[in-house]
Amino acid sequence: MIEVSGVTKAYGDKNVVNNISFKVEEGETLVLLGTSGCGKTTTLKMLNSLIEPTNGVVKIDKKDITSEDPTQLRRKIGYVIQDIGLFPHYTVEQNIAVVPRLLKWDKAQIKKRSEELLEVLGLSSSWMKRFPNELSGGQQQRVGIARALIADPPVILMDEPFGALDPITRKQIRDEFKNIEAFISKTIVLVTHDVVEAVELGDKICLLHDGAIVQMGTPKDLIFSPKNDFVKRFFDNQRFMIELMVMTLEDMIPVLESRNDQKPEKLQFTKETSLFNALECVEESVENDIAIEIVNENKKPMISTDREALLRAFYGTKDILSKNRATA
Amino acid sequence: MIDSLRGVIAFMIDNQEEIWKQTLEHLWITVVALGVAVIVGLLLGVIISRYERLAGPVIGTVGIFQIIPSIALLGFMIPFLGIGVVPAIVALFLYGLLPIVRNTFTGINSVKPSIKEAARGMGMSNTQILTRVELPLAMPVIFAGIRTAFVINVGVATLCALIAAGGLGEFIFRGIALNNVNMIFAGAIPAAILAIFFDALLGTIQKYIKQLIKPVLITVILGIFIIVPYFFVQSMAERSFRGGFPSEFMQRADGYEGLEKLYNLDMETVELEIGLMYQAVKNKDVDVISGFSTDGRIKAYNLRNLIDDKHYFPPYYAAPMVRGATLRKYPELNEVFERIAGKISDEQMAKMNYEVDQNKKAPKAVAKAYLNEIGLKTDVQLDGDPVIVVGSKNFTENFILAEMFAYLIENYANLKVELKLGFGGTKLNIDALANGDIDLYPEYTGTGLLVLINPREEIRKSIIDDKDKVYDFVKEESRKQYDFEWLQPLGFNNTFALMMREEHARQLNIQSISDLSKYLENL
Repeated sequence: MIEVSGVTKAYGDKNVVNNISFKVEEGETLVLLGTSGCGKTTTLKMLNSLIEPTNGVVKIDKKDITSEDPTQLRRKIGYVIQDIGLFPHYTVEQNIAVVPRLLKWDKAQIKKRSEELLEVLGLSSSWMKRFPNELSGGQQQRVGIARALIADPPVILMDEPFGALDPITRKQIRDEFKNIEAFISKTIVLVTHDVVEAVELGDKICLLHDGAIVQMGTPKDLIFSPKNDFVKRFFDNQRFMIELMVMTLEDMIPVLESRNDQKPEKLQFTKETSLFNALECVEESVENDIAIEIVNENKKPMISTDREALLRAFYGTKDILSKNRATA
Repeated sequence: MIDSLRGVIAFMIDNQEEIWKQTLEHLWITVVALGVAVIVGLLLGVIISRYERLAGPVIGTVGIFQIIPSIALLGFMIPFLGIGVVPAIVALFLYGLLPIVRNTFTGINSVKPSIKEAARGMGMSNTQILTRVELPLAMPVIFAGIRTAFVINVGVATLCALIAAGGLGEFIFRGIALNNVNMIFAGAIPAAILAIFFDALLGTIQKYIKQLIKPVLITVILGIFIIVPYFFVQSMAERSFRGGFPSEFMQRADGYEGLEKLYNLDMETVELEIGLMYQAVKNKDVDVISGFSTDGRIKAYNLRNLIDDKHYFPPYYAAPMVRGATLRKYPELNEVFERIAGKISDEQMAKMNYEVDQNKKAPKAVAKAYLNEIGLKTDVQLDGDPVIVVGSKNFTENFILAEMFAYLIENYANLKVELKLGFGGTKLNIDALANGDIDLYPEYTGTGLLVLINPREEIRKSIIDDKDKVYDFVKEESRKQYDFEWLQPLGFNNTFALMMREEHARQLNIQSISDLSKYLENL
């Protein structure tokens, strides 16, 4: 668990980060979102003492981080950066082994763990002896992630981790990333300026502007009940897609019309599936008018419907959500 | 081409012992200086990459040494460090520093910030970032600096022959002074091989730096721990009586070899640059030098000329030596030079030299002042293409005389003059005159006798005591053998002379070269 209270960072007269506080629960992913210069990277770097706050306290697992030697602290926190920052004079193997070597693990243990991780990340162990410049951008970033994960740190900080990749590789690695077991239990703080990425990866989003928090909450909170015009406008660009992404099929059920035709062909989704993913699958299937079945956690069918009905339900739910939030 | 190559090879084979000796001296000075420069340079480079405020001042200071001409730096250090190996190593160290410091700094600074940030974010300490990330990544740039420093040092080390540090420069400078190409190559070829060999060796070390870093560092550090005390002990040890002579004097016919035989001198000798010699004797780095009797510094440094009681040195009356062809084309030159024939006394010449050497006046200004003083005009300044080229040897008095000649020719013969000053040895002047690269230069009768003509011993003995006989003989023979014409002598006699510190000579009661010989025998 990470607890940030009243943290300020000033350079000269200017407060780059101005009195911000937030909490990240264990196993949760918090996205620090904002435009360039909003203070998100500075905030991130204060979490592992790369930058010292002018004021305020950062606690990890209830311990003030200044009570620990910064180098010791950083060895226990995974760190992934935008430029990847692999050491060009080290092989993949040596790059991954940096932190374990600092922690003085024995060689066999390092090797075993490295191989495991590479496999999880979809890299063959034949890459071990190669140098970073022989890898593609996507492969390099996978190695960068492996490097952050190897010592199994409970907390991982990621600064625009997919920023250096082309859009296709980026989406692909993001999808893998979401599904990697090793990440699911981690407490993660991730910096990005990409709203789609924020919505897709964040359990919570903390929207920053001019060094201050504008709004913090679940993606749904920020999208359907923006605190002010700034928040609303921030998501306007890809609003439709984002709205589809934050809503799950379960959200639709109260207003969803069922359809009971007996077509043998149907698509099946769990109720946690986002509306966006479900519709995407429909688009990819041969037949647009295919039947859609929503199942619960025990794979028991809950309702059967189709694309048209889902979309109608989406607008209906949206209206209700907006009204509810407005009155609340 | 093939013949000259054979000549070089033959010379090198004949002199292989000396070449080995000089190569080892050269190598040893260079390697020690480089070793120290690498350690200090790396440290400084790392420090200024940490405290960037210091980078400008440090690189600036280190860079200053680079722009001081090497010979000036060597001369500048004589009052503090004397002559010999120690100042040579210090000078090479200073020259080697800049490329190493600058490349270390640049190398470390050009490591991408994202890589340094990743290293810090991983939890590396500052020392770990330096040794595991920054230095390894900067290594190619640092090595480029070390290799540059080494190549510079091999080159500059040849100059160390001028301050009695030995090395391959001895052959090179003697070769230049005597215009002996074989001798120059005998110094230059091993120096070039050293540079290439060590550049390759450093390249190999760079390739295997990971495995070699520890043994190399240990060797260098141990080496320095052994060498520094060695120098300390050496500098404490009592030094024997030592003569310092310029390269040309060591080799020429009227030089040290003959002198040593005639007077039976038995002392340690070192080679020195002419300009540094006086300072070296003044600073007690050497005890006797072969100076010029009209040199201004004899008075300034309180030196004593030893009497040449066996008349080894011939008279050295200065006179313009002109190409025959030039004089036939411009016979008016004869008349022009009559205006100062016999005019300049020993004292006047010594005073002019003093003005330049001690009071730091320009030779041109001193020449002009003298001509005006004896009522000759200097105000004509001609334009257009030069028709007469005046040369000079590479020391103060010859510079002044050449300037004087230029004034006279322009003012009284109305011929435009070009100056080509500072030929590095008598032989070079003679060759230039023979080839028509220069038309005239100030030469000395004794030098003419022994270097230009070099007659049989009986003839030499029969004329050497009489300045007029020497002049007539040299004039006659020069015309016959070379088609060179000697115009009238200028008046003063600038003979070679052995010189000691006045106080030292008085203390040892040495008046003449024979006294010196006796003193040396009884040591």
